[in-house]
Amino acid sequence: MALLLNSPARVFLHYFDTHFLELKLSRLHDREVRREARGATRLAMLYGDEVLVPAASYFESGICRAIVSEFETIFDTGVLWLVGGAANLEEFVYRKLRQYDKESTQYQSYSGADWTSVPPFRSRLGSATMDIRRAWIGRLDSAEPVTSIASNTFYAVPEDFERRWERVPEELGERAFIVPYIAPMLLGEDRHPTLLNRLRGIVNEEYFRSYTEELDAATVGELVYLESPHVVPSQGPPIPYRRFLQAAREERFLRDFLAIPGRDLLSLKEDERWVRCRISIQQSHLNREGIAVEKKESGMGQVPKPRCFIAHGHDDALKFELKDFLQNSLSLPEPIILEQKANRGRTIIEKFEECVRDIDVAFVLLTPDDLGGAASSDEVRERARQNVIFELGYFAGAFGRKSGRVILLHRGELEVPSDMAGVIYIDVNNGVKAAGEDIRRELEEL
Amino acid sequence: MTAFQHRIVLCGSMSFFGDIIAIQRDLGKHGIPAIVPEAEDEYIAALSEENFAEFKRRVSFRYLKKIRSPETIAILAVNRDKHGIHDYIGPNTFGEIAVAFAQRKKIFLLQGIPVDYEDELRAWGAVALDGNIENLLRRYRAAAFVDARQLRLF
Repeated sequence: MALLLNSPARVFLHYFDTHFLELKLSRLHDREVRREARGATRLAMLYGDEVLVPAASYFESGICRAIVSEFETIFDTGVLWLVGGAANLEEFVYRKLRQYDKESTQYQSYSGADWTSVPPFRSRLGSATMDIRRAWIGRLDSAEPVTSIASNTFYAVPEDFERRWERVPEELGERAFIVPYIAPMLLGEDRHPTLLNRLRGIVNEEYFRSYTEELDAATVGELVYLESPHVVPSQGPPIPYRRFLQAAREERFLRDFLAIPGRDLLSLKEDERWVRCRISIQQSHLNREGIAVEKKESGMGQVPKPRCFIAHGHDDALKFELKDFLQNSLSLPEPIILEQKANRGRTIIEKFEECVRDIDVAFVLLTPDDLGGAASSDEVRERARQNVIFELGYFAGAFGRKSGRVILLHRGELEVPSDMAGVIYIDVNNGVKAAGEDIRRELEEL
Repeated sequence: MTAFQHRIVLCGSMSFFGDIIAIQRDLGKHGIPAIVPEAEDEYIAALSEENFAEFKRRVSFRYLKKIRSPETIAILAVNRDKHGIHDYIGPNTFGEIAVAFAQRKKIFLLQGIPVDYEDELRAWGAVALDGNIENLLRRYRAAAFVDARQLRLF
């Protein structure tokens, strides 16, 4: 049980960073961002022994201050800290004022900072700016050229782009390493929005890495609105927010978790439902690892039997014929058919996500279940149910192209959505058994 | 009776929700109705497991219906970068694009065509907008607006 309940000692709250929120255009959906940031912060408070908030986020982000202030009465418990590269808050603010232009919003945030009810400050040894500079120059020697930030765009990088890149740290001097200051040096007047976003991603990733590595801190992952465009470095597995939400719903814990006042939140650490949520999350993590180990081990010995999923429309006879064939003729494990799986509070999409992790191959039965046609035409044709088309697209997308793990069995006169790479097409007009040899051969190829 | 008007359905990971709202607003300024996914509020987040599952099921199928609707002439996948993957399209969005293709809707991608699905998306005639919705506006006007010179004949 101790293994199941171990937790990251420190959690670093990356998502309050103003440049990160800027990348998310958070002002346009402020309510959703606030709700998720609040939930993730509460989860971090329950999960970690210490929760670390970048001091810069606290001063620069109103969302951060509002959420952190919910815990004002427990600032003295040593659970929540501001952290920054200075001996104390006064020095931190002094340094920040030198990094930003006087007309910038950041400068205003620091010069007009409210010092009442500020959480305790913890000094870090390193400097995020120095770490970003090092990583920035290091990119010039990496296998992926720095010009790749323009990949798949119509933007033509300047001929001297690498030279411009190299000069950026020197030209910045003491100023903050942020995109509004970098972009004019690199891109001139043509500020392609995709490139600006990718530059923000590069800077943010290194900024977060600087903190999480030095402080040996995990981050919160599996967010919805606040999921990151780039990799968010985490020491140890990120705390899975969405999986927590699922578990909390099952345990009927979510309402209390969201409603309890900040001062009382830590009392939920003793709540049995929270303990069960933790076990459920850890168990789910171990299950995934176990499946990976099982696959690896079986590769050394006997060939593993593929686990199958059947996506279907209204043709129950075909569905059961396929199920019987896979189970009885090919001796495979019982295929997963969504409606047969216990719900356990999961949504359809969540069930798919869960299934994709556990199965090796998806059979999609495309049968003429509906009638329909184009709005511009009176012609009515037979067609497959649209949820089946969706599932086909979903599995093809989830397994990746040319994986051969999606097998489409089609029957009747209907349009098949074109030749999708990675999808195998088998005609079952004469039944599953007649096509059995084709199915067996494709499964052997996996 | 509501007048029939061509519209565009926006889809993409909810982590791009800010971009989705921004594009809806931009399209609205040009007189183009755009449908966006429903956000979850506090009330919905705290629903019981059964009610939440029911809510999500209803929302998912309602969105597929909106894609299929004759009023929808195109789908725009908002495919910003995610987790370090350029021009990210997740399985859910790919599934919605598949539905749009099956219904012969025009497919637009906000950024480039992701390498992983390049063959399929090119075969389906997906148009990469390179971050600029002008191309989409042009096509929408061509498909939805009657040429004023023709109106003068009446």
